[in-house]
Amino acid sequence: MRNEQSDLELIRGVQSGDQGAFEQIVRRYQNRLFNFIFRYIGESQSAEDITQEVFLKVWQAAPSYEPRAEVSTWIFKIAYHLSLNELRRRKRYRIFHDAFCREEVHICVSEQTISSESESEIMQILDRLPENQRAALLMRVNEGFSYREISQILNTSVSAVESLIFRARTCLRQLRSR
Amino acid sequence: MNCREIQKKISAYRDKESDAAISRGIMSHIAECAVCREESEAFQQADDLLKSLPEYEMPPEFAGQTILKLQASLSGLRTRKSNWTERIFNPAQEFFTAFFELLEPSKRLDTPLKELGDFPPLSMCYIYFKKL
Repeated sequence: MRNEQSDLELIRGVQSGDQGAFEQIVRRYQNRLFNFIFRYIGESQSAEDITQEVFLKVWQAAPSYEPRAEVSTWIFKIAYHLSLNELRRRKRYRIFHDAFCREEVHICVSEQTISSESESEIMQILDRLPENQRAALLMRVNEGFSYREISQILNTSVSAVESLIFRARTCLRQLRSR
Repeated sequence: MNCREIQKKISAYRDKESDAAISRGIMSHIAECAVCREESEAFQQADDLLKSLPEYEMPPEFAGQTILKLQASLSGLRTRKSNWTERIFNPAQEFFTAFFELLEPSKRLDTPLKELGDFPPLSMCYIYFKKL
């Protein structure tokens, strides 16, 4: 049955142009990806758009996928890079506006998706962590990736990931106690 | 290892990413040292905070919309691949038509621009100005 197919089998299907396999991949990863991207960039509509974009990239990049890394690691790597591009785009936008407009640009946590006060507070604390620390911590704590897998996603060493996660946790504690 | 070294390694130890010897050292140290134990508990609280974030679910139509978007992009890709010459000529034709219309709004350009396709754009402008 298709439900029992592994990620690798589904990606093989996608490589041969099977849209059914692609749909299975989408259904399997859509919630995980959305939650990660939303927590990472802090805005729900962009997170939904990026989630969709990730799947389209998965389709495009599937022919070049080699099973050296787990499929989930590979998909999250795409998600991380697209989210990072979005954050950089926003940063440029903010710089542009600061240079040409006197009004402040507020790009922050969406109020539509934030359902509780505590969630809003946590998202604001997360938003203040450096982006690479935030990504590493979310991948470890919420997604359960190992340090080796995170190092593959962030394209860095395992010891750098260890340091990022340690600093992120320390920073999170300090921000929370303020 | 002293407390400072232990505290730096507690994060990886909690994630079960330390090697066996270091893990044993940290475990026995934490059992005796209240400060480091507190540090470890504080890390646990930081993790609990992140784990308390709600898990959102995508709307049921999301997967269908993604498939549709994929199909749209695939059909667009096929069309673009099949007539790549038009991808070059059409924008060029539109640009020059708009440009000539701007210079001379009353007259329409009768010469089909595809006939001049071999000429680089600057030569085409030169011919046009000569004609004027």
